[in-house]
Amino acid sequence: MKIRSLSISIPVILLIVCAAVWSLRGALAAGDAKPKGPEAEIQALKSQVADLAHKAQNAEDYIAISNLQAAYGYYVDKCQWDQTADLFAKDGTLEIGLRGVWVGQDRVRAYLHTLPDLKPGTLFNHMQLQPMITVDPDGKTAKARWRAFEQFGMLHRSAQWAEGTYENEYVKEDGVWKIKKLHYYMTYYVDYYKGWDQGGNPPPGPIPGFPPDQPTTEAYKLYPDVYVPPYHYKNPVTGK
Amino acid sequence: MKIRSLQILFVLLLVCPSLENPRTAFAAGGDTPKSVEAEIQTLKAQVAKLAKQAQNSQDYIAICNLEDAYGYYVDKAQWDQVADLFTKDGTLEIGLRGVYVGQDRVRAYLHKLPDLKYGSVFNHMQLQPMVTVDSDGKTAKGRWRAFIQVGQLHTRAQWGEATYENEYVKEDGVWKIEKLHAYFTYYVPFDKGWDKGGDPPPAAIPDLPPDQPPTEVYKLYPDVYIPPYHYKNPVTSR
Repeated sequence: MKIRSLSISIPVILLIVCAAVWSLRGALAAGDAKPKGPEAEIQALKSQVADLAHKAQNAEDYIAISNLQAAYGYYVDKCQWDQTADLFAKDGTLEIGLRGVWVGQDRVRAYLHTLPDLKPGTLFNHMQLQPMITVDPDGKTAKARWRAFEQFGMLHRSAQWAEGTYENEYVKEDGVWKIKKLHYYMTYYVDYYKGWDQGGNPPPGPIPGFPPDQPTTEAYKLYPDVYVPPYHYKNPVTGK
Repeated sequence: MKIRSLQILFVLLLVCPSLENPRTAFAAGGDTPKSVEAEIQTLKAQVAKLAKQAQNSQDYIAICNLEDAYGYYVDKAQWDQVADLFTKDGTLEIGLRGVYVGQDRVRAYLHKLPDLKYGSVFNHMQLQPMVTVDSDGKTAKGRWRAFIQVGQLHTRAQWGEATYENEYVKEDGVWKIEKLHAYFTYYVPFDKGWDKGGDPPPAAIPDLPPDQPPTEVYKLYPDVYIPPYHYKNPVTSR
């Protein structure tokens, strides 16, 4: 009986001690807020840092794309066709006015080399203006609307004003933004001496012996006709 | 036997809370919470990288605004405001007029240009920035272009275009123009266009010779010239 009660009481005592330790540990863990505090703060910081990283990257992407398109314009001005083609992705496409689409960097390069060389008497200014750049949420692709204001001249032969709208697409490959799609919609070509009340000049025509890979994606007419190139974005205020 | 199994239960009960949350148990055990320390280190490194990225974007914006401000002051012939955008040792080289060295000389040069008065147009649109902030964030370079309309009532009207290759420096947190170099592409009379050969560039200023001769000699349209780029091709880096 004594032994038996002892043998029962030992487990009972052990259980009591055990329960005491258990609750004490629980109380210790709950009462000691410090280990949980830093953990929670670290989680909060991590999510803030992730949010900031996204914002900072977005701003950097905007700048990189703006610089890329500016670089495009400066090379085109000076007829540096290989430098221009190098700004395109390998599967990049180019569509200028109503000349159709050239597909792939090699074809873009070939097209560009059909354009005039830089030589005395040539003016080929393509100002790249008014960026409206939208970097997609994944940060890997982007779209932009731009305009070009142009002055073309051939000494003793011609002087023209021109203007047009770009709707371009960009892709980030190995951390570098490249032109994925360049689409230039011409608004007008006008003779310098005639201005934009005489009806304008026709756009540059097809290149003899060098057809495009795909036909024009959108048919439209230049000034005096009017056309609204589709926007890649919604109204930034209303979202409509 | 019963006692042994209860002893095992006791040990298990002690260990259980630790298994539930090893980190808490580790911390409660009196050791340094190393994982927290490590996470803070990681966060610090990420924040440092972000700070640099964010600063870079802010620098880009500040430099764009600085060059825009330059253009708006030039439009309106506000020469002291223009000169104030330069560093004390800043330089200015416009076309083929040579180099003016130091803010005082830049100011003196600018005051030789026309005043704002009835009948004058002096528009200098600052366009197409290609801005590169150097990795230390203390200096930067920018290629820009100006589209220019200059005129004097009943006297003359011209279009002009130019490329800038400029340098900027950040002093006490403020970006300033360290070097401004405008390369003229063309000047043409309004009534003649760019098929007739263009006008000569603005001539040297007789009573204020430059401190240094032009750094590059080139000809305007109908000649062609490629002002050197401060940057490599942004895709190929060549």
